[in-house]
Amino acid sequence: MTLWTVTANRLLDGSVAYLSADRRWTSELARAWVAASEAEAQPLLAWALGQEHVICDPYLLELGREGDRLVPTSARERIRAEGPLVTLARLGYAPAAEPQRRVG
Amino acid sequence: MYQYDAFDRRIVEERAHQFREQVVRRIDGRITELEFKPLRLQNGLYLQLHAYMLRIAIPYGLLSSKQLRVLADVTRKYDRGYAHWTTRQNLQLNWPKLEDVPKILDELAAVEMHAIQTSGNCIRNITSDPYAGVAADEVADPRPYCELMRQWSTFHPEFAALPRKFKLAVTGAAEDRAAIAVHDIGIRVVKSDAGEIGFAFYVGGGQGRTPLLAPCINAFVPEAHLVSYTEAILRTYNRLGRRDNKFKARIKILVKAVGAEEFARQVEEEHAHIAEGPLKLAREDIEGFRRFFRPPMYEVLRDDDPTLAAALLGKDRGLASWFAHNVAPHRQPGYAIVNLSCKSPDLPPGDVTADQMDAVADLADRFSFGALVVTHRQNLVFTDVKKRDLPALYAELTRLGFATPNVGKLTDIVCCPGLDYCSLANARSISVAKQVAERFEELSKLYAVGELHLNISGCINACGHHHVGHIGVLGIDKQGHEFYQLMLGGSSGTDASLGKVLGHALVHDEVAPAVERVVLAYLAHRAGPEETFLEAYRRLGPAPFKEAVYDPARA
Ligand code: SF4
Repeated sequence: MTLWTVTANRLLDGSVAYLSADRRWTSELARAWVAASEAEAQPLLAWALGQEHVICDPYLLELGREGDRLVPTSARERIRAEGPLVTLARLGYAPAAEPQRRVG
Repeated sequence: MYQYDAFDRRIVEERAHQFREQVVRRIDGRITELEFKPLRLQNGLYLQLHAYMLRIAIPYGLLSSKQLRVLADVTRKYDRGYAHWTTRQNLQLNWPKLEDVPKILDELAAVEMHAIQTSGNCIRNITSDPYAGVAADEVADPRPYCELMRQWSTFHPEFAALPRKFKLAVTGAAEDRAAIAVHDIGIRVVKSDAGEIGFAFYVGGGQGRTPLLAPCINAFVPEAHLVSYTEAILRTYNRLGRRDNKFKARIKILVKAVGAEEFARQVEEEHAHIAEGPLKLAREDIEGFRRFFRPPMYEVLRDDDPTLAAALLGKDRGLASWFAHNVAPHRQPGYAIVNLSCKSPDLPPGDVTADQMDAVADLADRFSFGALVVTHRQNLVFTDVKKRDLPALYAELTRLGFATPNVGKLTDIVCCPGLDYCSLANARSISVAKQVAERFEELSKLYAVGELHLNISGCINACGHHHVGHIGVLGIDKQGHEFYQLMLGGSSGTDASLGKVLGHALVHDEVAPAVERVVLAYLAHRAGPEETFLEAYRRLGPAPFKEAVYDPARA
């Protein structure tokens, strides 16, 4: 079953953000607000389009469920959710302070 | 190298200042993203999958050690400590924060650098031969012409809003190391029978969705008309190029549609109006630019340096192998050109850490007159190393991870950032490169294969130049899933050609095994070790390679 949420990139650092149920922006897909249909998601997208002071280019994102986890349905969105899949940490030049996003 | 005058300095500083104001206005809400986007793009700032990306211009790839140290510094201070050399000889930062970008631009401006002409529908940063100025096969040093064209093109008011982006490459050598056939304009410095310098103009090449090799529209444009003739081409394109369809807006589509001959005629017509105007170059103008690129103070040395000769015969076979593969002949006796391979097993192709940049800057000071060049194959070059210093330099480069003796070989992979970073990507490219590199880590295996260029792009935009890889890999999207097309037979060299798709698309983990099967088929079918992959492919056609990839049981 396809679910929907709203996603964008944050204005200040370009990082990936999802709209949460309390109408805030979260980095964690697990905390994203989810709509059961595109029609249900549209009003939230309209609201997000008015959020230009904090985010850029919001759009609707299709999600699926694997067990109780929300998962993006495309490779692009999976990588957006997880960060680059190249093993930067192994090379010792990705600072540990950077938040590790997880697919929820 | 070129030194900014007061005017250059002012325009770059002013641009950084303007951008600072624009960022403030965007953050406090006075301008919208729609208004801000073209402004940030004019300063090389893209919004990618996870962060902003700043593309810093390195005109014709030439850097001083001082500039490299500043690049290292901004990479460390404002990014995550690593950056990426691009296939247009530029540098990309992957994680800058919006409010830090004006600070980065200020710090770059202090060393005569900027991010202008790295995005948008303008004349982009001009690229050139990484061996410019020292190549044994050079008619003339192309860098004075590149610099002249850089100054002419920067903020050119008439060409600030072209139908599409516009890329120029200039080479002064017989061997094409600047991929001029796949540029909007490729310029080759030539000499007439009378010994006069001029330029052959190749117009309408390119990669992307519609790959085309540029036809020569004029085999000899006199030196004095370099700028006026280029301007005539740009004017013709600006007037006739399509603006109704982004995918048909590049000059290559126009040249193909009207035909090279007719296009050349129209350019001549336009040129007739401006040829004798202010754009005509006087001998002193050109001399003025040449002065910035005079050869450094070379020592008078023997070419057969005994220190090097002894070291090459010594126990360290690594040195000999590195010398054979990563060092090229220099035209000054006793000197050599050294390629620093940025394709080690530890980093994505073309990536470099801030610490490595600092260390390379120190080595450039110690061994190569404080300068280096970024190549379109995402490596670095020290152009002026004394042969007797090669063993010492080799030891330092080995310590730093830049001495992998693979330049021009299969693991010297050209690779765009792909879906790990790029918002336009269909598929990952770095991970494919890594899987291929792992299969050919053993040097004897690599050397048995000889010269072989593998180029990988994460989408049809072809930043990894897959069309001109001897083996090209293109990431495509099928309903949200990553797939890859394999192409064979491309070349960006003097014998330029475009690769042809071999067969149906492959999934991610099939690509490296498929590349290996292509290589094994080449080894099985080549006429002898002296026949390169490209020569064998051209002789044999795709059939044996197709069978090896798609029907390995029969192959
Ligand atoms: S080729 Fe495509 S995926 Fe690769 S960097 Fe260019 S636009 Fe991005």
